[in-house]
Amino acid sequence: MDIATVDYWANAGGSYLHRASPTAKLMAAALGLAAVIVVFNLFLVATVFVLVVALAWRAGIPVRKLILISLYPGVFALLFAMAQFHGDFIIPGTTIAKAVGAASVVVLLIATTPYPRLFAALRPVLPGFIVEVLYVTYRSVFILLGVLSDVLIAVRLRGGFTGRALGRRLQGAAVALAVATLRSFEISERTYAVMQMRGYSGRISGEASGGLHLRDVPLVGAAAAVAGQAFLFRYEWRALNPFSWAPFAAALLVLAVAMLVPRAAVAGGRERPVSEMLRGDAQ
Amino acid sequence: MSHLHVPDGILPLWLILVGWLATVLMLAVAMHALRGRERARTVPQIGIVSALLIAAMSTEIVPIAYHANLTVLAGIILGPAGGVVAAFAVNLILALFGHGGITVVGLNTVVIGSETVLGYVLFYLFVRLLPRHVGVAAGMATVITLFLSTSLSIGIIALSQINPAEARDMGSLNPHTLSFSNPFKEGVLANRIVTPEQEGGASSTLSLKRFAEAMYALGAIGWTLESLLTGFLVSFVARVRPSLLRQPILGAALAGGDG
Repeated sequence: MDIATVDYWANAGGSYLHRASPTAKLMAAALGLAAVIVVFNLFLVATVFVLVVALAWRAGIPVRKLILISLYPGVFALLFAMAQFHGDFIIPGTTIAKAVGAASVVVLLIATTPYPRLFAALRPVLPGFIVEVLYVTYRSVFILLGVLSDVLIAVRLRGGFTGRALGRRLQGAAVALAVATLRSFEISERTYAVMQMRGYSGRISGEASGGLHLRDVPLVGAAAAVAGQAFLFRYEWRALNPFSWAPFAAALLVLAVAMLVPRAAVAGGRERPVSEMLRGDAQ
Repeated sequence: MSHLHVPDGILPLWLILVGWLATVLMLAVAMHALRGRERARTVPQIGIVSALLIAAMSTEIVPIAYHANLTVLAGIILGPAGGVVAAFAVNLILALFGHGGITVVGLNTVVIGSETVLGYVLFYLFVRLLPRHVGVAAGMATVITLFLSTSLSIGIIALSQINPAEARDMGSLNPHTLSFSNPFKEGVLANRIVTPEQEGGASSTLSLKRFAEAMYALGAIGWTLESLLTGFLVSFVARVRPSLLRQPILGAALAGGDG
C-alpha cells in the first residue's frame, strides 16, 4: 500500500480522467464496482479490468504499478479462494479476479482524484463531522508515515531489525509506534490550536466537488453501459454465457486503441503522463 | 486478521446492506454521544488517531506481511464513540486503497468498531483488577477483543452462506453460476461458462470449517503480536502522557506505574 505514490498520481496528472468531476468519477466507479460484484463470469470480470487498464493508460498512470496495487486484495481473496477449491480452479480464480477487478476500479478512482476533492464529493451523503475527520486523517497520514519512516531508519541504524529475531523486530516496531503515537497527540493539540485561532465554526473549508459537467457524460455513460451489460449477463446468463467472450474481446480492442493512439494527440498536447513525470523526477 | 479483508463481490448483497445499516446506526449513536464535546478538539483527536491506525496498518512489523491494527489502543484513547467514528474513517480510506472491499466498509466498521468498544470496556475492567499493571491489562484486553472480533468475522462469513438459494434471489453468490466448467475447455468461441448438466451440479460454497481454521490459526499469531504491542504502547503512554488515559477511572493505577 503506497499511499504517497497514489496521492502523487492524483495530484500530478492532467488527463481527461484527472479533469473529470469527482462526482462523475464516483458514479462511474460505483457502476464499475457494481459490474464486478454482480457477475460470476471470468470473462466479464476480466473485461472490467482490461477497461480500467485502458483508462489508466490514457490517464498516464504507471500501469504496472496500478496493477501491482490492485493485486493486493487478491492476496486476501486467496483465503476465500482456497476455501472454495473443490478441484476446479475456475471458481477460486473468479473470486480472485473479482477482488483484483474491483480494486483496480477503486485504485483508478483515487489515482486520478485528489482526496480532498473526493471527500468534498462525499459531503452530500456523509455528516459534516465525519467528512472533517476524513480531511484531518488524510492530512495527518502523510505526517505520521514520515515520522514512522524516520524512526524506523533510526532503529535500523542502531541495530534494530537485524537478523530474524522476532523479539528485536517487535521491540523496534514498538519504539517506532510509540514515537508516532506521541507525535500524533502533539499534532492533534497543534491542529486544535490552529483551528481555534482560525475561528473554526464547525466546518473545515474543502474544495468544491464541482458537480456534473457535459464532458463527464462519456465517462458515466460508458460505465453505465458496462454495468448494464453485467446485469444483463447476470440475469440472462443461461442464454448469454456462450457469448461472454465478446465483451472481453471488445475490451481488448479498446485497450489496443488506447495504447496505439498517442496520448498528446487526443489531449491537444496538454497532457504529460504521470509516468513520464516520475521518470523526469528520477533523473 | 480480526477485520475482514474481504474483497468486493464475495459476500451477499443482503449482508453488505445489513453491514451498512448497522454502521449507520453505530455512527448515529456515536455522533449522539459526541454531540456535547467541543468539535474543534474532537475532530483532530479522532482524525489523528485514525491516521495513526492507517500508518500502523501500512507498516509491516515482521516479514509475514503482519501489520499492527492498534484498534484497542484507539478505543482506550478515544472512548467507544470516538473509536467507532475512527473505525469508519480508517475503513473508508483503506478500502479506497484496496485494503478490503469498498462494499465491505460497513461490515468492517461493525467488526473494528466493536473492537474499539470492547477494547475500551475490557481495558478499564482489567485495570480495576490489575491496577498496577496497565500494560498487562491492555494486553489481556487486546487478546480477548481480537479473539471475539475474529469470531464475529467468522460469524459474518457463516451468515453469508446460510441459505444460498435465498441468497440467489438477493443477487449474491449462486452455487449454480459458480459451478461453471473451464471456459477454455471447448475453445474460446464455443465456451459455455455453465454447461446444462452442471446447472444442478456440485456446490462450490465456501467451506466454513476450512476458513475458520485458517482465520484462527493466522489470527492467534496476530493477537499475540498485537497484544504485546498494545500493552507496551499503553504502558508507555501511561508513563509519558497519563492525561491521555482516563484518569478518574484508572485512579491510582497510573501513579503507581506499570510493569
